[in-house]
Amino acid sequence: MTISRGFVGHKDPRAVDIPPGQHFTDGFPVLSAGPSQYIPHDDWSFTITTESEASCQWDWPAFMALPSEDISVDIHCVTRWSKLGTSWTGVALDTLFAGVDTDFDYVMVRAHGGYTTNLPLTELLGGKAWIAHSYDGAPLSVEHGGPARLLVPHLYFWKSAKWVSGITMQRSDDPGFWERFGYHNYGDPWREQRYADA
Amino acid sequence: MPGQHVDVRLTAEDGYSAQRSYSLAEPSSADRLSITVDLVPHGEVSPYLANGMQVGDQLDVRGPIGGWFVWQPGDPPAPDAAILLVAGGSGAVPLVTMLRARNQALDPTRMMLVYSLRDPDDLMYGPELVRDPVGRRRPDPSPRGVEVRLAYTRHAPPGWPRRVGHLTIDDLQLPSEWPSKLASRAYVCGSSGFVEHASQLLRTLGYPDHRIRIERFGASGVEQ
Repeated sequence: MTISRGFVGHKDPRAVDIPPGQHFTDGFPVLSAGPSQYIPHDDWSFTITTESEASCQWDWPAFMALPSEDISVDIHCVTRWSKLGTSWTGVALDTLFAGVDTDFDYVMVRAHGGYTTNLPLTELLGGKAWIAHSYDGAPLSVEHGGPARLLVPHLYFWKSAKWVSGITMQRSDDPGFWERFGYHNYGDPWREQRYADA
Repeated sequence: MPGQHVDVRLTAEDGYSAQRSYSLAEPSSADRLSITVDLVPHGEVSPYLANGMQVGDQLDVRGPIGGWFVWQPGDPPAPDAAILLVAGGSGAVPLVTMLRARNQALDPTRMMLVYSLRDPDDLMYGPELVRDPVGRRRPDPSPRGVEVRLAYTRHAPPGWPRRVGHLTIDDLQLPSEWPSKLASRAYVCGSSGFVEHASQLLRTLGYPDHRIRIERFGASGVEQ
């Protein structure tokens, strides 16, 4: 490691562990690959499609009628900011997958505007992921992915796809959008899996 | 490639380290890279880079990183193609890098840079983009096929032909003598609010989403 002469830095007094290479932010930066997607509730749906082409679909009223949970989680962006104790409300992927019959182990998450991200199915289940519709007690804003986004906080936040429209089961862990542009296929912040060559 | 960034890590003697991402300011070579640092008041990293470092000091760099918000000479391989670069403030850094690459490579792709800034004091790369000291476009033509437009949002030099204010659709129309009405691709870089505004203008002009590439920055994203 290279020592930079004279550099002191601002050591944060919060004695909380954040993943390596991250720093705390009190703001909530907005990042995206393309323009924000504006989806009216009347046009919104969420669809899970399996290998047999069967699908489960919810429109907005059906989705909002499902049981939601309030959660507080730390989130970590690959651009190096971490935000602690963020408050969300959403429907657990466990709830959405309850009626889904699949032998495939991987998913491609799809979003309006063409963004995609891939995950093993296990990373979405067991209380690890939600489709979030509210942030800090208010409807999720467009710039942060509203009306609904995927929230999977144990991985780098590019996996928490904004403007989510559905999930397609896939046989292998094929890379999504950022994964094809040089970012890590799995993305564990604690092992600092930022880039594809990590 | 122009548009890529590098991750910079500074480590103090006690082992404490801080990392930030910076856009490349010039196309990098095997033994040299260049970044432009925007000094953030009371920032943790930029004051050290801008004012503290001396020649001979060392830091760790990783990259270049990024394959999306990039442009290389020869892209797209079409003779009438144009590329639109829309910069808000220090969002000009990766976009001027693209313009530099285009000029250095003598690439024929037409490029229009629309650079939105508050007032003449905020102008980056002034001597390179304009010649006249009050900030007008230089009277002799830019390299053929390059158009640079400065859009002042608060104060403009005296006699400036464009009305002071935020970007409008007119600012983003390609020159009428260029063969295409729309650019093959638009790159937008700046604060989140700027990017939202510019993206909506591009959509109104008819740009489909897949031809709009975005890089937003702020105090915790990619620094400039």
